[in-house]
Amino acid sequence: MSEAIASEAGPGTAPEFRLAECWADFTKAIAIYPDSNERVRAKLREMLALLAAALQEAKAERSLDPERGISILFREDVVVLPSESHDLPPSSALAWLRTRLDHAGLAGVELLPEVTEESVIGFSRQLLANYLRKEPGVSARDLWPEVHEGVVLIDRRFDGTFGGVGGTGTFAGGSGMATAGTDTRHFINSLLAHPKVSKRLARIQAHTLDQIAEGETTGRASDMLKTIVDELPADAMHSRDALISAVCDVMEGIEGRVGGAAANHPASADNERFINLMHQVSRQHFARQGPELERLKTAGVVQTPAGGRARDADIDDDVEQLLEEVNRLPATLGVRLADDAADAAAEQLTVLMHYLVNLERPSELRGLYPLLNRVLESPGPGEFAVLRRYLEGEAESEAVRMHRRAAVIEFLVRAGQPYLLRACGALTPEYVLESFPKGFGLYLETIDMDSPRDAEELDDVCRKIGDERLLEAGPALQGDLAKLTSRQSSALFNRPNRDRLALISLLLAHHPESRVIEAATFLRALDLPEEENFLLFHFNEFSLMTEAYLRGLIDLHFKRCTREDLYGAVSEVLCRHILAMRQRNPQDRARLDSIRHLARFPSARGWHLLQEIAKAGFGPFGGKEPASVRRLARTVSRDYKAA
Amino acid sequence: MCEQHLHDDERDARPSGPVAFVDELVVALTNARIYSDEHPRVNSAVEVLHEGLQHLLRESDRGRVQIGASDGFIFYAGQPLLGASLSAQRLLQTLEELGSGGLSFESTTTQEDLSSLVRFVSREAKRVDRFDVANSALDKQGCRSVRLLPPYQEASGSWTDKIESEWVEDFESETLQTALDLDLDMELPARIYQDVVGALQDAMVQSCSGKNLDTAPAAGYVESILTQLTHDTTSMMRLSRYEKYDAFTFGHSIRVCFIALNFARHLTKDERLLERIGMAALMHDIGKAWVPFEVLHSTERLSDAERAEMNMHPVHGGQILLDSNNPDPLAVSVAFSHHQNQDGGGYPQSIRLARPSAATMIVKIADVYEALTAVRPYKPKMAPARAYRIMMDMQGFFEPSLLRRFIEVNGVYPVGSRVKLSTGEVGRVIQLTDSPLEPIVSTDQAESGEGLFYEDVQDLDLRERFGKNRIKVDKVLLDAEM
Repeated sequence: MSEAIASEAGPGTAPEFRLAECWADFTKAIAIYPDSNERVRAKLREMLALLAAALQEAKAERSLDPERGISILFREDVVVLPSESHDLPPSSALAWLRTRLDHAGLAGVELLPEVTEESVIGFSRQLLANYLRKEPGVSARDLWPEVHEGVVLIDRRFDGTFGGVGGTGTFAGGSGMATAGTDTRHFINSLLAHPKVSKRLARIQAHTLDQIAEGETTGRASDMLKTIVDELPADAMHSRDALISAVCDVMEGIEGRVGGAAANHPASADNERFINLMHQVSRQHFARQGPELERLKTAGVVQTPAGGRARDADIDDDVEQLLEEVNRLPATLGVRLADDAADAAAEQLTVLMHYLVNLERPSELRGLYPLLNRVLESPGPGEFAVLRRYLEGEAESEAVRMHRRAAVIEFLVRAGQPYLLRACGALTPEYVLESFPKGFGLYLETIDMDSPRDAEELDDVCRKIGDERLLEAGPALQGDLAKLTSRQSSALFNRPNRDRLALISLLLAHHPESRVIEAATFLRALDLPEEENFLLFHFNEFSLMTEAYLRGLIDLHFKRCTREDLYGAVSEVLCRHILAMRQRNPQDRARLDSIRHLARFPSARGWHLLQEIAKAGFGPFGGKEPASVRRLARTVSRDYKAA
Repeated sequence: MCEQHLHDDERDARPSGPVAFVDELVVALTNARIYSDEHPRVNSAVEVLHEGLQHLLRESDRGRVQIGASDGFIFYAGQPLLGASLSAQRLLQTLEELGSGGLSFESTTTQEDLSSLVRFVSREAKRVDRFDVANSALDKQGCRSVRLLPPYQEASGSWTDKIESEWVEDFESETLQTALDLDLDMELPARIYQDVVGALQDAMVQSCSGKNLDTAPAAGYVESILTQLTHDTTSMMRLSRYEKYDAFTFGHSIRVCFIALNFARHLTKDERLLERIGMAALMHDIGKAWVPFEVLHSTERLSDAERAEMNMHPVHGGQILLDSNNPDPLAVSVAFSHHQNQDGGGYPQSIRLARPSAATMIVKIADVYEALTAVRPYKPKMAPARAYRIMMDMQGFFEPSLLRRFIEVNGVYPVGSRVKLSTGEVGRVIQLTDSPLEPIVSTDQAESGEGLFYEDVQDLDLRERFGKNRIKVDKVLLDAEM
């Protein structure tokens, strides 16, 4: 890698710097505009033109290898180019770009001659997408899943304490990135940066006669390494550790041979004899070390053997090797504990739930319930996922699963948070249908009847269960229905729907007095076709309604009783109305109608009332019926008799 | 069952000397706080203590052994025993409350005498307030060979009365205060360390005795650790390099707390959260209080049943913390999860999240790092670089990016490490730099091995060139941490 060289000239003079600036401008443009935008296209063309110019200049002035490109790196607040470096102007496009590269684990890129418009766009799009990723610890492979032709990714130097310029930490160009093991040049660059390799190279160079000129070291060393790497079996490029080790061994062999030969036949780093020597040593070494190389190759991908750390004995405290390995770990991407709050709550819930479902008497653990309540105060997706796993997840046996489920449900219900069961997706309609009548009561407890969606879902569930099954489950549901709060029960009456009729009948049976008005309102809204329905429209005072009448009406609708079965109930409501109105307005039209209706619904109670009215004249204490009403009662009585 | 007991099999390998003797005394006192006088654990601890005393007496030509106590430190032969002092907080506190400057053991000291002393200090000392009254109480119990010494007077450099005092005489020209001043920077961290040990001992005693854990005192000390870490990282982290294995694993818990807090404070500035993480780290192994000591201190390979017993300590830990006053779900979660791996391995078996919380991972990293770099009866200590490499090789154990961050923060040469430089000088890493292999080292020992005078001690920034050469760290000195 090029060393940073303090620039004497101001920024903006060299094509390399203008290329860097243009690259930053282009990336900013593509962050705002689509690929086809002219501003984007113009910057892209300019960038590629500047790259061509920079490459031309590098070839002319520094004898750049034709296959190599222009590297643009950022270290701290400095942009490092092959021939110069510049401080990053604050708030500049370059500083903006540096932030995004940093976030994606990159120190920069090397732009090769073969780079295309498409690959630059592809790289930039991926760079911007990576910047938006919030999750910590994303691996380099996930950050850079594709290779962009002509764009070589260069890892960010081990940042934090490991990140300074001039340190002895390794600079692993692209190791472990998407291009790892596939790009020889890239691989050679990273080898060059490895301290062990560079030390051996220096020693080999010391044996050669022509001391390589300042500034050419990298190019010559690169050539030397390429000679060695060319001899490597192609499929051996997968294990970097193994290769570094193997390359070092080869170089040691070369050093020995060159050292021995130097005294008699001084070698030059680029003469044919030296190159042949390198090829020969490499070939011999790899041929001899074939099986060993294979072992090393696989060592890099073999996972830790289960149950033992015998291999620890082979791990030493080589700090340079350590840095190399650390560089291969994924970038930290600014790990922050604050980002972890959601995970922490979910983990805490997981652990607390473990105690809840596994302890024989969890309530004796005095902190358990309060902590569970605290963690579940404002649950997020993570906590819902945990609840779901405890409620629905697999277990070693069905009995364990059911026990776990029951313990969680019991806790949530006891803690007054049964709604969480539905919120976490545990009480699904499918589950309710499957387990009916078992989960139905809990389901009713947990639905939010103020929510149209929940109400519709309930209607759908009721329809699928069927009126008959619902009504038959009445006794089994008795306990569950009794647990419903007044508000919950009221909510069930709020959205009249034919599908819920059977449920209303059950609720009415469990709350006969308190739910009459709501049930009457519900039934009137449905406007059932049965003739007996008329009472719901006959007067407004639903307090006069009786549970028997309302339930009878539903039963009649479901053909669970006959019209005659309902006579008594209808007559009772009519009688209540007639008596209630006696004091207020005995000649009220609706009252007179009620007296007339008594003839249609014969009952003993109705007959006695008619007799009473017919005989009740005005007396000294009031409360008696007017003559017109008595006449009507007599008439109705005659009809009644006739009927 | 508790872990405060050394397994009988360990005796042959048990270290001897004054530090070991003080450690044994602390073990015996702690056992006496948990069990009745006749309990075998108490008797066996006293027996071990007696053996240690006999060993010291054999080495001493004075026919007696004196352990000094002053300014919160234990002294022996004129030297402060920092390591021993760190875990002897309760002993020091008791002696201070009695106005005593130490303990004197005659060559005639019997096991019964030591039993009386242990019983007295652990239980009865609260009822008296002067050392001479304490001595009278010991007399009444027939213990005449062990004496509580009068306090040391700094001004005069002598005892308040004429009792012979070998441990002070050994100072020769130095005074006690001078001895302490040699490492004045360590005083406050050491006191915090002692306080935390005391709190942990109390916690362990409570857990073993079936009482509900009171975490409040320890929580207060975590706050102090955090403050001290912020103001003087070097001294605090130096203590985290104090890897003497102690029978209690208190030291392990405290060091994990230091390491975890030092790491976590680079990830958040939320002090409340840091305190909670510190507390979780401190209590992460509290569940070992319920693991049978035969299992906990077994020197043999554990059977499947014993392994299962041992692997229950995270579950026990969560349970103990859940039953404590004012439990923190984070501490419960860390205690429960710190042996579970990211790949689903580890223990205990339970429903797992795809990703453990950062707090758990931080403590787990600190736990493994401490275990690798500390000495254990079954293994020597290990250089940090090797520990990191092993941790990186432990596939599925850690979240890689967090491990990387840990290595960055803790450094290849962690603050507090003693290192030998390429010049042959020896010093202590006092600060990390932006170059991982080039920390700032405070040299205190010349190439010849001679200690440097205070004015010659210098802080070397290894990034700088010294003449034409760079000075490099040659190696970490593992046996010279304290």
